[in-house]
Amino acid sequence: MMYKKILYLLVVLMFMPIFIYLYNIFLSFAGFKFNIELFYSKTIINSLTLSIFGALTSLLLGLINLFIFYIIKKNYNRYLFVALLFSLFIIEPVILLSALNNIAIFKQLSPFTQTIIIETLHLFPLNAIVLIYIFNIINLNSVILAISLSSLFSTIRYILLPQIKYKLLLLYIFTFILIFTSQDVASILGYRTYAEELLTQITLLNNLKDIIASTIPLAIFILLFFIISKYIFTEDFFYTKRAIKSYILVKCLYCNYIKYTIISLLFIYLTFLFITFFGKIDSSNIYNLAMDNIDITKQTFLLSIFVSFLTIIVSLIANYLLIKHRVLRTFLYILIIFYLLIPHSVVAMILIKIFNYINISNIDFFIYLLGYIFVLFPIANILLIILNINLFKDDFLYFMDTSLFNRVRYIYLPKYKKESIIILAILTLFAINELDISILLIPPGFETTIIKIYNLLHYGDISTVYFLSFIQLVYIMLILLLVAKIWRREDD
Amino acid sequence: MFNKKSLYILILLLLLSSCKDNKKVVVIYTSVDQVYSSKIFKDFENKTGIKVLAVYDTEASKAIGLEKRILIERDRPKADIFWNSEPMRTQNLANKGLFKSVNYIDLSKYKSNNYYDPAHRWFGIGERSRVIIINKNLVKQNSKRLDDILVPKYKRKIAISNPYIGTASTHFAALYCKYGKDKFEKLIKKLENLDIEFLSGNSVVKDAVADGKYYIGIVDSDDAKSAIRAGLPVRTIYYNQNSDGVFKIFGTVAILKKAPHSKEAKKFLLYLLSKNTERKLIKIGAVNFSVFKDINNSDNIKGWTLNPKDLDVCFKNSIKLLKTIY
Repeated sequence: MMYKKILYLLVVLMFMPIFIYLYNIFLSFAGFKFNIELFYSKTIINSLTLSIFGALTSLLLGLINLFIFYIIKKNYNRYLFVALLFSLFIIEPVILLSALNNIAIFKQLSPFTQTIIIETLHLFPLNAIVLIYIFNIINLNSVILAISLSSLFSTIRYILLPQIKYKLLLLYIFTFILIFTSQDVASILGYRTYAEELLTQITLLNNLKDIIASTIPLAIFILLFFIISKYIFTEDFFYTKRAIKSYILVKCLYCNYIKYTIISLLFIYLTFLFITFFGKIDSSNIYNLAMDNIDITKQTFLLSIFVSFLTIIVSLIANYLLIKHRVLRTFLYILIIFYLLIPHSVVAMILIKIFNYINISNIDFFIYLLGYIFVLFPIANILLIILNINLFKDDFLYFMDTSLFNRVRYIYLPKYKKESIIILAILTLFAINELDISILLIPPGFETTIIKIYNLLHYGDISTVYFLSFIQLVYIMLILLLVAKIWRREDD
Repeated sequence: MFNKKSLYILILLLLLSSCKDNKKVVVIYTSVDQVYSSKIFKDFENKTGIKVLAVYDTEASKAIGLEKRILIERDRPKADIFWNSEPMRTQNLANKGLFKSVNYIDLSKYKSNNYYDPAHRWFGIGERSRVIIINKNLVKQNSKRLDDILVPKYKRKIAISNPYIGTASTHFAALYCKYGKDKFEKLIKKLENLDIEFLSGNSVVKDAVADGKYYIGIVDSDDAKSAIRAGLPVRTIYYNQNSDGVFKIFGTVAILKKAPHSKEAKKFLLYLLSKNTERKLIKIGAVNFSVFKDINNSDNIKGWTLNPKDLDVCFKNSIKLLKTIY
């Protein structure tokens, strides 16, 4: 069966040049310009290599951290461990690069390796956090039974993997796309990516239609993803039973040594970042720095939580409305991937263009919020799937004589409270670090911390940059307090 | 006790408190680095009481930054002023009819007619130059000509920013204008043979040279000066001083047609184009040379510039050749 799928993919790949050629003819008829060279650019190979390896190393490191999570015995220590992971995820890749540039060995590495390291260090905590939730769906009884009857390897191969393989694949693809579409670190390091190439081509085109047409090669990836997703989004995938936590790995003999080594390494890494940040803040001027940035800090924090909350509502409504429409649901997923693959700056341009036709004054902030929702919507949807928040399986509720509000209030919210909060936390982190769309849609006079960091990073005001980076860490601590409080309350 | 409703109200109040209501404002889109332009805005606010609502272009968004935003918003502009760090794209937008022609700027104060639009749609302010920046720990040779650095011993050790965006694109366009097609083609071939690295921005080139990742870079003079101020191990070379000198790039400013706050925009334009403001820009390091007759430059650097109209044509031609290497 597996061979057939691979064969299917290979056949599609073989037909791809013909597909592009036909697309090009179609575009010419429609009056679009499309630079076909873009598809044959070596940057596609660069981006693919980077994304394949970056996503793989992020997933592997994520799995190691998942393992650590399960061998931590006390619940509260687990909270702290997740808090540590969140703290590491919040640090912007460019800031990370700036900190790692203080290490001599790092500077000797090739741009490709440096980019892989930065992307991995940025994304492995996210992978670990999501994996912790993915493992919640494992049927504990089957695993315990299997492990008592056979080896750990067989248990993983025949019991564990079949239960989580689709979600692992989805997480891998998600990470892959995040790396594929990001261009900041790679372009700073001189490693040319497809995202950068695309943006450069867009710069040379003045026509919006041509800009959209230039994203056509990305349609290829959507097509590929659609084929893969056909096998991912099966009934089995949606109806996987939620089970209590798995303690499968507690049998490990060297667990404690591994646990302390990994946690120590993470702490050393975080301490290194803290020291780098603090070392570059002008301590004599810290009061002024705080006063100068208090507004921007407040704005960013509130805005990020607000847009994340809005996105979750929109995502849930979209999912709810599509319960009965399989075709529309598939369309939604294609749309999600399309959003993820198109550079955010292009989406921003389209938004401005659309709303420019609508003659309403003071619409800037609305467009800005919409831009955030555009960016966060696909992420929210993927997290909804990965974390198993799925309203489809509650079909029986249709037959009950209850209003939608009551169902949300008394059934969905209590049932998915923990997952909703984790999605809100992850989305808030994405929102805090969002730059591509916000820089283009930002209302005049408004500013967020990440925009300020980018604007000041290269021009000598390093003290403010690192002060704001430190503030980013404070954000996450605040969010974590909320998450930890809820987890603890539930466990109590 | 902690109450959920009070939390929601608190969040709402904080959100509302973030919204500001200012009557006298001017909306400025600027690609001049925030670290400099924000100081000018603050000074203008203090002097006039008009609040500046700025949108900055970052290194990260320069690929399709403010220029595209202005184009898309052309029917209902949100910006009053476009303050650009170079002239070529301003000319391009002027050609598309996006700027208002104004007649209250004294043009006689300019050094030459390259620094303003004959149709009075944009005006020059402050000049920088393209310079060679070298890591002084790694390169001892004091090269004075651009040709001296384009030699095999520096293969894979020279970095320039993306030639399609920012001032690097203006520089290449100017070189095309100056050299002509054949000589420019030879230059491109040379760059190709030397495996020159193209990075995402001038500041990135500056940092990479200071880190020793590359020995030599070509950047704007303000980037070079900021590196020296920060104590980085770099040296600036104003190349070709025995012939025409360095290529100089000036900033430009324009008022948009249908600007929502045209009165305030006029005040800002007059403020920015004053000699005092330009002196301030030179003092804070945003620019290095004056475009006005009476202001003497502290550095006696020889340089050349071109009319932005010519640059726009040369840019299109230079791209065709640059595509072979980037």
